[in-house]
Amino acid sequence: MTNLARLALRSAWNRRLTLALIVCAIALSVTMLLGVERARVAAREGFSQAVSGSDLVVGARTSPIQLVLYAVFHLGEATNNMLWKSEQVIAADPGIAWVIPLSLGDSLRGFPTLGTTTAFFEHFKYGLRVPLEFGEGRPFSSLFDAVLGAQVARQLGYRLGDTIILTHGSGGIGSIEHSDKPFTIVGILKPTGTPVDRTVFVSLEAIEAIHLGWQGGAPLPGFTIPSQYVRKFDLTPKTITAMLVGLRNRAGVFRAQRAINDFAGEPLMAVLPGVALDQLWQVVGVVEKALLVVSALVVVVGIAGMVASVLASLNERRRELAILRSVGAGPRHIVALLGIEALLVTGAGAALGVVTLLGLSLVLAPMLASRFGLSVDPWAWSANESLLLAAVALAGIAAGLVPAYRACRLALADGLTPRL
Amino acid sequence: MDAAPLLEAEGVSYRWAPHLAPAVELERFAIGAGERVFLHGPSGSGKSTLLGIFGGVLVPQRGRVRILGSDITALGASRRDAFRVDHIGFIFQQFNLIPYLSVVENVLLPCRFSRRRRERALQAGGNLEAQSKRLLAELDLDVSLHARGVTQLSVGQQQRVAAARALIGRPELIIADEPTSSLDAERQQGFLDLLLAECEASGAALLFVSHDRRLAARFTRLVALDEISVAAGVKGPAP
Repeated sequence: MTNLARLALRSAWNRRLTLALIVCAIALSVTMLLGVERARVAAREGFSQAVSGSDLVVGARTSPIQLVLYAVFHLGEATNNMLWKSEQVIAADPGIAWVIPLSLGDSLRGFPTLGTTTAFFEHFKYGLRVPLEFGEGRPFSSLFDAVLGAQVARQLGYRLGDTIILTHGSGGIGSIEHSDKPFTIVGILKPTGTPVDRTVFVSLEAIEAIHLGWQGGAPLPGFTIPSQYVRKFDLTPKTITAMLVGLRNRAGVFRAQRAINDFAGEPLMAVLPGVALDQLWQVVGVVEKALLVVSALVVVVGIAGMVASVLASLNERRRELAILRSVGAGPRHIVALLGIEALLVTGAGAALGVVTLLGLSLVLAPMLASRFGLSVDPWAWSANESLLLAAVALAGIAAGLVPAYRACRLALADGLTPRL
Repeated sequence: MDAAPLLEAEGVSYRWAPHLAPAVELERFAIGAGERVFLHGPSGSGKSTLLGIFGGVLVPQRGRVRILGSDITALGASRRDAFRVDHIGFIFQQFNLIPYLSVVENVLLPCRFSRRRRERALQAGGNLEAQSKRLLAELDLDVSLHARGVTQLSVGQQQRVAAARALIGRPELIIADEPTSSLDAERQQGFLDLLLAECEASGAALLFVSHDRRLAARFTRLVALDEISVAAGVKGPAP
């Protein structure tokens, strides 16, 4: 067998250019397959950990997925708001440790604005219960202070002390700007890989203030209240969009959920964020699965390339096979010879692919974390990845048996004189 | 000849396919130990088929081929493969060498597949590489060529490397299938001289197949294929 392996190696070396290209094709497809798998897992983790530490998400009655979409991802718009009074009542419940009120509806050049309290910076957690951290500055304290998520600041190029003007609604053509009431950036959060990065934070009072004198979603013509006078008004909100709730005792989560669902003052709904996020992922995750299928197909193409090129070279190798037959090589030797080659090519391709993946992970991990919030550990090797790699190796060897079988047939038919 | 012949074929018939006429139909044919047989016949007379049968690569539908007392037609496929390399050295018409191996590695190929050939080569003294170099030197191949890629050799040089490969480990039978047909007349004689001398030195019988009768003078026996094989003239199928 060592003789055959050496023969296979020498033969492969003789055709090294073609085989190197095939090794590269397989390596790239392996890198892509494993890379997509890694991105998929990272995306899923990032997604399911967009919010943690909050026991309930509360809002006006709607579908749980929709509530999570706007309360956690700040996407879409709430069909109904909930009363501030209700928030006060829920917050006062002795079983409840903290609440974070959320008020959506404005934006900064496409990024959603979230009206909230400083409780957000104190209690909001993501990932494995990681609290928010400030990269620069501090939470808002004055009325027209704003805090930016990391991506907002980076993408729009804002720094501390810059002035920003919010847009009413989610932005777009014809949106009205709150140009009479500019905000000052007092803090920029560190990247989290969650929707927090894409959010502009201001106080609930500020949301009230910029809408003073508005009616039905538009300012009353000829009626503006300059910034310096807004503090004379009562800036307590009438309504909020939703709220995040932290319980003193997590064991009481279902009781608390039921209590809120039966809330007397108005129809409310409480959902467990984890459950709703999982439901949401089942919708979004299809894309990820499709990607994985596509990269599996790329692997198939790579292996098919190997089979095609080995098959194509067989005719030229019929003399070689006849010579080997004359010196005692049997069909099993010929199968072994080509099998070893398939093993070599697939193995080298897979190894090169893994090395490439590692290199890419090392180089790209910081960028992925800061830009896309995907936390990828280059050295973490999952069981799933091993399975995928084993599948590639098996497929490669199995596919390699096709030319081996063909070579064997040719050698048997040719005997000692290849009839070309 | 008193002793049992080295090779003995009886009632051998081979068809490439059931609906085709037999390509070889041989009543009786034998080669004695150390004999030098010149087998000639026009192209398409079933020479290659016959050599395939003697080499144990093709199994005749009918008849027996005994080599050194073993009926190779009765052996299993892998036993036949092993038997072939143990006892027979082959030289083909052209393209005898594996392009990605060096001259010496090509010569040593039979020793890689056959323990018997390896051991017999080592009996002659030294290691395998020294043996192959000795043979190459006897076949008039300069030492400077030994490490070279075989594709850099001339056709005549390649044929001599092939002869060295057939001879190494002293198999009992050398089968040469038109080994000189790609050489010019002058080199044909030179090659034949070397081959005959080496066969004599190692005591091997030689079955030399050619369509060129002018080479037959130095053989102990001349056999026309169409005289021994009834079916001569039927071609094998196109691949």
